Amino acid sequence: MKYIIYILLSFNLTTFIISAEETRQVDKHEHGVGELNIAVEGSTIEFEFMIPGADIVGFEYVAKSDDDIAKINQALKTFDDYTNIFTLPSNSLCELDSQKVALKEEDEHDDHDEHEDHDEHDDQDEHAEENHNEFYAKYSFECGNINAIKEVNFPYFATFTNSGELEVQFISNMGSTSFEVEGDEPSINTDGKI
Amino acid sequence: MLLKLTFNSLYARLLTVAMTVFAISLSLMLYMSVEKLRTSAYTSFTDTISQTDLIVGARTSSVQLLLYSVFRIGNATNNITWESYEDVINKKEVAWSVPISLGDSHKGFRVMGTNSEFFKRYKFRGGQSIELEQGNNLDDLYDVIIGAGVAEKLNYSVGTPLIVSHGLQSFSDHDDQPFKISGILAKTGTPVDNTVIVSLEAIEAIHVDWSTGAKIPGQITPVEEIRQMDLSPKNITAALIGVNSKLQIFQLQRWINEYPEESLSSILPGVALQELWRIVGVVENLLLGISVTVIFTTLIGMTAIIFSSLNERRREMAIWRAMGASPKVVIGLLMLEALIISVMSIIVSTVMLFLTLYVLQPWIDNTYGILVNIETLAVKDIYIFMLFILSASLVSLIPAIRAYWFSINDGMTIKI
Amino acid sequence: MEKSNLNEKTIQIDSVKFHWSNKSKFKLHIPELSVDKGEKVLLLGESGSGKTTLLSLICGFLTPLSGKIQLNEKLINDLSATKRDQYRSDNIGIIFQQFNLLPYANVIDNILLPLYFSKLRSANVSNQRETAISICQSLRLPEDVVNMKASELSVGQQQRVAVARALIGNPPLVIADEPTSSLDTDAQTIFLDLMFSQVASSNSTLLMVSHDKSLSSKFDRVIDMKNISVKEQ
Ligand SMILES: Nc1ncnc2c1ncn2[C@@H]1O[C@H](COP(=O)(O)OP(=O)(O)OP(=O)(O)O)[C@@H](O)[C@H]1O
Ligand SMILES: [Mg+2]
Ligand SMILES: [Zn+2]
Repeated sequence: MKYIIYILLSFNLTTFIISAEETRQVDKHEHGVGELNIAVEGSTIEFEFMIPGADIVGFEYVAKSDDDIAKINQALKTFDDYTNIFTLPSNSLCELDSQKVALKEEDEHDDHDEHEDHDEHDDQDEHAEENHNEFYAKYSFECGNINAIKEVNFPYFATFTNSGELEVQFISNMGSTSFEVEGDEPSINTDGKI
Repeated sequence: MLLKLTFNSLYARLLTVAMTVFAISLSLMLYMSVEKLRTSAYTSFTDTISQTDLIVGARTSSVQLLLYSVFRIGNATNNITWESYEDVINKKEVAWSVPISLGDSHKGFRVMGTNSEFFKRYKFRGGQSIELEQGNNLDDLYDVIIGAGVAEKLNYSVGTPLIVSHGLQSFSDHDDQPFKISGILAKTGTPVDNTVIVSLEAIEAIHVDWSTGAKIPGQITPVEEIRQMDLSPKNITAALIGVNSKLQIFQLQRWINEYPEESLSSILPGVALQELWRIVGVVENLLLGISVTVIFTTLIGMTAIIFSSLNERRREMAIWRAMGASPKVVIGLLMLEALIISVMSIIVSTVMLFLTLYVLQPWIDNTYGILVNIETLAVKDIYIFMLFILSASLVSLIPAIRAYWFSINDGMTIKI
Repeated sequence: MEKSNLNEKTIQIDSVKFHWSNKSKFKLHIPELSVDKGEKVLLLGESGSGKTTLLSLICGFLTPLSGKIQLNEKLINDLSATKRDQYRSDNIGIIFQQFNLLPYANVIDNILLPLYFSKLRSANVSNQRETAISICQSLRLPEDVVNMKASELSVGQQQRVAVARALIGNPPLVIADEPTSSLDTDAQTIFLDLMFSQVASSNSTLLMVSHDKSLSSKFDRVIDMKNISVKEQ
């Protein structure tokens, strides 16, 4: 029994030292992993998506060809209607209050932290060009019955065929938690968490 | 009658049967203890911190930051400077903050430097506050408040003097600056019970004659002089932060993580905990897998034992048949045997589990801060028992069916 | 049980054929065999001649490929397996050559075992424990033996307990497969005398197998396998 705990904990310690690289950070950029922050305060619920370009349009470089620019514009238009991305239960009576959709392009890397990130990526030889683009979308809702949000569904996975996983950070007055959502089960259960 | 005879038969093979029961019990117990630890750890961990929105520390993995700042497991790789801390808490999103400074210890218990905000803001088990059971707050520079566990295990009371040791397993003590216990906290069931709390200034004070982790040779500043010095903290290990609105958390988190002056991390405790469970989950599943395998191995062992006894019991089967027992009774007898063995194993394993947990509980609590709940069996355990009995019966069908064929084919010819 | 009637047949076999389903070349063909009620019959035959096989057929452990086996005028070979088991426990007391008893059970439990499976036989016994003890007494088993484990008895004692078990509840037929072969001559004589007296007192028919021709005089009739069975290629 002693050993079980010992193994359990020693294993953990080493595991998370290894996993230190995987730390969730806002400036983290990993293909196939989009980030979503959900915050609930009072009757307000906010959704904030940060998704690597590869997951949406299939490429990461700064769009130069007409074709690529069209793809990006099309994607931004898709984000304009949040129901393409996620849906809330109708009995929660949530009304979209404000939204912001943007493409964040970055092609300069003088910042130390980001360099770390890039070393990682270069090892994996994932792309030739030294830049990323990221889709950013933020939606804010006012809800008549916020407690009725017992689950959130994500048409996102069906909308974007390149999409990978969504890592969700969730906070409300009940505390914080996280979810990992994938296309095979595109929903999160927030019952008892709001 | 059949039951009695089956018991007689098992009793006649007491040693083999006892060993089988023991082996199965051990494997069942292994499984149940993993389960117990898993659920106990989960509740202990989730109950430990509540109402803290963000934890800020030096850049590290979120799980590591959570573990060292809240659970006092492992060590901080780096501290953060007081200036950075002030920059963070001056942000308009921040409602309150608790600075924490870790690194030293007392007889194996962690020493934590903090300020009075800690007692006001630190909440556990769904919003409960920590309370002084005896004594007073940290009034003097050399006052300490100890957790209930520390007081109990070291048999300390208010007024007892206390020497802080440098580092976690160090041979050098800060014996030139003795502390005095000013208060003892009520039991919380969290790592706070095993913590020795001093002021941030006290942490500075005991390190006046230290530089980069080593004592400056020959330098001993007298206590009176230290009391006159500016002891405002220069760095801390981590900070607990509450925000004004949950809607601002992610913005603040991003700001902290992108803070240019210093590499900082900020985590949502619930998110980090969830991440921890994912990591632990791998090990747990591994252990569960191992224990399930062990259970099945012992089941096969049991079958093998019934099997090997089958040849010598072929005659017994013929006797049963001669008495008019149908082949079904013969199958039933062997299955009954397996059933008895598995039920006995379940009973023995449960008793062993509770005895072991009872004995080990204080040790687990002390060492890992996990309070194992030993009151009841989980519903899940009952399911597992039923599943086990079911599979034991199924597995025992194999020798039983063989016995059936023996008894059908032998007729009165009896082979020994 | 009705009064013994010489014309009543306890066993009646007509042109029974049997062979083992596996590679064994052994074939058994018995054109005719009958045993009257109350008769004490000795079945002789050399080793391998099929004596035990015949007993298995009579007891309903095995079913013949063709022919008829009747016990007390009841055709048993086309009964279902369960009914045959039940018929056996109701009507036949069986004694093996040796190792008759469940070694881990005590003598009383061993003796009472058939009653557990046969309502018919247990109906004939009003007080089970007392009956078992009294049979033991008439078989001259020491008094303290009844509570001992079967494995603790001598071979002769075990065989006598087997007789007690075969006879409890007065089954109409007792079948014994070489019950004396593990006993020395003196013990054999004592055993047979005791068994006969018990069989007589319960009005049972006895069919006993042996190699030993010298036992012939004690029986009403002696049958030799080579006289009743037809050799087949
Ligand atoms: N269970 C069995 N499966 C296959 N063949 C068997 C089985 N039992 C007996 N035999 C075969 O049937 C034949 C007759 O055997 P059986 O036991 O009836 O002889 P027996 O007259 O009782 O001999 P013994 O005097 O040695 O007991 C033998 O050839 C034997 O090999
Ligand atoms: Mg034989
Ligand atoms: Zn120190």
